[in-house]
Amino acid sequence: MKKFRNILIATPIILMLINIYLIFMVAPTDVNLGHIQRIFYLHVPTALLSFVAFFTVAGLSVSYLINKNRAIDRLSQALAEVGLVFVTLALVTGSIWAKPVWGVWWTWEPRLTTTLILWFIYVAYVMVRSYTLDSGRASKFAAVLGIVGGINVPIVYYSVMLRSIHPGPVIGDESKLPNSMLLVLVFSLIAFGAVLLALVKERHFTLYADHILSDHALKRQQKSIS
Amino acid sequence: MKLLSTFLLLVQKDFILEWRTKEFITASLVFGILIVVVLNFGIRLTNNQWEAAGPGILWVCFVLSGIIGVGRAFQNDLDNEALTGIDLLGVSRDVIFFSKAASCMIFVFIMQLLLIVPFIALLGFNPFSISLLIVMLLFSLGFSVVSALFVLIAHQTKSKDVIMYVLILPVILPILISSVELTRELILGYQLTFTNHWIGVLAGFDLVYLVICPWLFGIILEE
Repeated sequence: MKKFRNILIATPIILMLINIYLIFMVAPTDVNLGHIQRIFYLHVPTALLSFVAFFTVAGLSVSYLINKNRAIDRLSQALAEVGLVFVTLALVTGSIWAKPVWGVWWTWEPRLTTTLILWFIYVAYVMVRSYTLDSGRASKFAAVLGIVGGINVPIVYYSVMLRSIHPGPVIGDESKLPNSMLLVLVFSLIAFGAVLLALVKERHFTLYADHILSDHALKRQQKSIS
Repeated sequence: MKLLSTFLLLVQKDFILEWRTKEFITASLVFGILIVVVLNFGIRLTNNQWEAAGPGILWVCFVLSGIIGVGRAFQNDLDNEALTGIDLLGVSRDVIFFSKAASCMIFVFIMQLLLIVPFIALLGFNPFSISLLIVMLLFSLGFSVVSALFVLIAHQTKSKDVIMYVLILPVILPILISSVELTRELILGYQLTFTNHWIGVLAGFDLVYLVICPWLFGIILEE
């Protein structure tokens, strides 16, 4: 068990070190954007994985409300918290990238706005959990928010898309990326995926330990009363 | 038939409570007028800028004072455990939800109608038209359905005032955008048609949440 945990922690560290080498040494410099384009290899994977995590949380929330399985609730809490870190990273790296390319830190383009709304829903999810005293209720409220958020994100995207005039894609059509760039992007996605899984596993473990300890304390209290 | 009479009885209860306390209308109206006053000093607009900024200011007033009002509307029910009491009587949770959403919707709609008067008087900008009433009705429906769910959650957390805004505002963003854009189109003289994209977003949002919110409300209410 311990060996498995060590592998789970070591793998993302090794992958991330290789990823950094690939981004700075192997990936070609973009002809138009220069070195700033390298932030793309951090921005795209974090944004994509945060959306994947978010929709997984929505699915797990439905499952939790039907089955009331605490393991599912722990997993969705861990995923949401790590997802919040990832979506924050995506927003920050996106902003750093936008400044030299678009000339502004922020623009109300559909993808950006939807990501920002996703961030707010993640924040609300974490806040509701920590501001609700009863853990059973907190899980229920968070699951409700997970579902509403999952439904709302596509509606927000559609309504912002209707409202805005799209700025042209910065890196062109992603499918036209040269193979060397595409390979680094895919590797970066795998490396960040490994980081996400390791963080979720660790957070899930601490939540599990927390549940066991609180259950134990409750049993001791009940014993002392009886 | 029994469901309908229970529903009407619960809505009537909310109206009697509001008639006695006047909490929803007073709180939201005073807050709404204050926002108009503050925005007047915050934004200096010339005559031709009203078409661009006016609808946004109007709907920000509606949303913020609506949240205050809905919060107040639930206060008595939750403080006195009235919702739990009604639930224990064996009333269907869907009926409880729809009655709460319906009374909130009517209160929000009345609040919007009343708030337009000081808006016109203080800012000298008149967005009112019959078509705007349809937009206001569709907005009130979506807003009340979502708010009824989230206010119930917010009231059971430590910082209900903060949580209420954090929960409601990101979720109602699509109907806020639609209402602002529709108001702008109406001011510019366009006719409201049912093939309009924004009407589609408003009606679609209302429909989706009318289906999903009663289910989630029932889950939250159960102990």
